[in-house]
Amino acid sequence: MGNEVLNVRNLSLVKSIADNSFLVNDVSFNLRKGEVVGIFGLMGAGRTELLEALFGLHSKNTIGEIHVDGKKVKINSVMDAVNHGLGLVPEDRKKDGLVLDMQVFKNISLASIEQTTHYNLLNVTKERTLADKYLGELKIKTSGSNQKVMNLSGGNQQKVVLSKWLATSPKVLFLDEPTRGIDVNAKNEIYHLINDLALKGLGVLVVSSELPEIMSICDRIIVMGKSRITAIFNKDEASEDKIMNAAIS
Amino acid sequence: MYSAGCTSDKFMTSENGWNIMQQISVNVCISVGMTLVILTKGIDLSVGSILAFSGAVAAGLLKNGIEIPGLDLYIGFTVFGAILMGIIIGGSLGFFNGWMITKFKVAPFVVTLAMLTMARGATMLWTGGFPITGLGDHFAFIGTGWFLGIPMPVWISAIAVILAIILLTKTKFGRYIYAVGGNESAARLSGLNINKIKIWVYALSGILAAVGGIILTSRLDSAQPNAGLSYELDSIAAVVIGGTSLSGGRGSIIGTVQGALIIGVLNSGLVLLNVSPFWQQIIKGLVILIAVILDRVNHDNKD
Repeated sequence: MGNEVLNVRNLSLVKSIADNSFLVNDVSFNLRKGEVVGIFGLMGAGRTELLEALFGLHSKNTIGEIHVDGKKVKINSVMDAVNHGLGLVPEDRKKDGLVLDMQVFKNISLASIEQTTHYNLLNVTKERTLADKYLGELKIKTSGSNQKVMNLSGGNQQKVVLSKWLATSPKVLFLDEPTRGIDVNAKNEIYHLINDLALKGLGVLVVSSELPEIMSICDRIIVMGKSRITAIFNKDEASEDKIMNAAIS
Repeated sequence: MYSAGCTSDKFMTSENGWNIMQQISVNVCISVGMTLVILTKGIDLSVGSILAFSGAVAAGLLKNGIEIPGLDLYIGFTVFGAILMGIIIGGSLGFFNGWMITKFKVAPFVVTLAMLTMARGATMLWTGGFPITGLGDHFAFIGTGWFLGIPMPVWISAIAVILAIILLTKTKFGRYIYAVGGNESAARLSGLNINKIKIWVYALSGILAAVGGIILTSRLDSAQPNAGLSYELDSIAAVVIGGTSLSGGRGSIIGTVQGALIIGVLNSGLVLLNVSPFWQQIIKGLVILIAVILDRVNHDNKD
C-alpha cells in the first residue's frame, strides 16, 4: 500500500448527538496515487457531506482517522486540509468556488498566494505568469488573465477553479459534481483533464450523480446510501443495475 | 463647487483650502478604516465613540496621569505615551468588535452598534461628562502645527491613506480583504483564515478612529465627552460616495479620499454660501444618493 495517497478510517459526521443520527456514518475507503474513484449516491446519501468532512469544514462534529501519504493527519480546518495537499472543487462554483468580481489570475492564485509573495508583498507579474501557464494547459478561453471571472462561460469558470487547486500542487483532489451546468465540449475536456491529473499521480475523488459519467471516468466506484458506504465496485465489475441497487439498498 | 467659488470670495483661498483639508483629515482617517471594513462586507458604527474614548483617554492620561490610591503610586504620561495609550485603546476596542463578530457570528451592525453605546458610556465615565482641556503646546502641535508648509493633520491622514493603499494593493492581506468581501464562502474554501482577516480589519478601523480622535482632541485642545457624535455617518457617506460597494469586495481608498473631499467641500462651501444647516443635510443626502446611483449605473454597464 505504498502508493496509497488517502486512507479514511471509520469517518463519521455527527448530525445530532441527541438522536444519534449521522450525515456520514462509519465510512472507510482508500485512494491510490493515479486513481480516480467515484462516489455515487442518491440525493441526501451524504456524498457532499463526506467531502466537506474530509476537507475540515465540520471538524467539531467529525470523528475518525484520515491518513495522507501514509501519515495520520489532523484536519480541523480548510487551512489544514490545504496544507496537507487536499483540494476541493465545490458543487456550486459561483457560490463557493470563485470570487466572481475578481480577475482570473487572482482567483487562480488565491489558495497558493505564498508561492508568489515575498515577505507578504504581492508579485503580480509572477502571479500572472503562473496563471498564464494554467490558461494554456487547461485551454481556458478568456481574453486574458486580467479578465474578470464573471465574464467566463461555465466550463471555463470550472477550469479556473481547477487551476486554483492545481496551483497548490495537491496530492488529492475532491471534485463535487465537476461537470454540472457545463456544455458537452467542456465536459469532455474536463474528463480528459481528470485523466491527465491521475496520470500525473494525483488521487482524484469524484462525486457525481450521473451514472454514465462515473462509470466512464472512474477506476473504482464507491456507492453511498443513507450516509453509509453500501458497496465498492471495480470498474470492470460495475454495472448500472448493480450500482443502482446498492444506492437504494 | 463651482457656484461656491463664484459667489463667495473666501472659498477659493489657500487658507480655506488648508482649512477644509484640516477639517476632513479626521474623517479621512476614520474613512480609511471604514473602507477596509466595508470591503469585507462589514460595517463599523462604533468609530465615532471609539474616537471620543481614545481621545479622552490620551487627554486624561496626559493631563492627570494615573493615580493608584492604595499603593500611593502615580504614573505620569509623556505626550508620546498618552497618544500610544489612546491608540492601543482604540485598537483593542476594534479588536473586540472583530472578535465578537467572528467568534459569535453576530452581525457587524449589531456588534458595532453595541460598541457605539458602550464606548460613548465609557467616555462619559472617564471624563465625568466634562471636557478635559489645557493639554499643552506639544500635544497641540499634532492638530494645529505645520511641517514643511503643510498642516500636521494633513500629514497624518496622508500617511494613513498611503499605508492603506499599499496594504490593499500590494500585500497578501489586502488581496485577502477583497476576496473575503467578494465571496466569503469561496475565500473560506480556498483556505483563508476568515476570522483572522476580519479581526484585523476591525482592529485597524479602531486604531484609525483613535488616530482621528487624537487629531481632533489636539486641534480643539480639549477632549469633549460628545466628540465624534454621528461621525460614523459622514465616514460611511465618504466611503459610499467614493464608490466602495456596501456588498463588499469592490472599492478603493482613493475613492474614499475623494468622497471625504466632496463631503468636506460641501460642508465648507455650503456654510460659506450661508445655506441653512437644514438644507445642508438635505443636499448631503442627495449627493450620497446620486453617487450611489451613478456607481450602480456604471457597474451595470460594465457587466
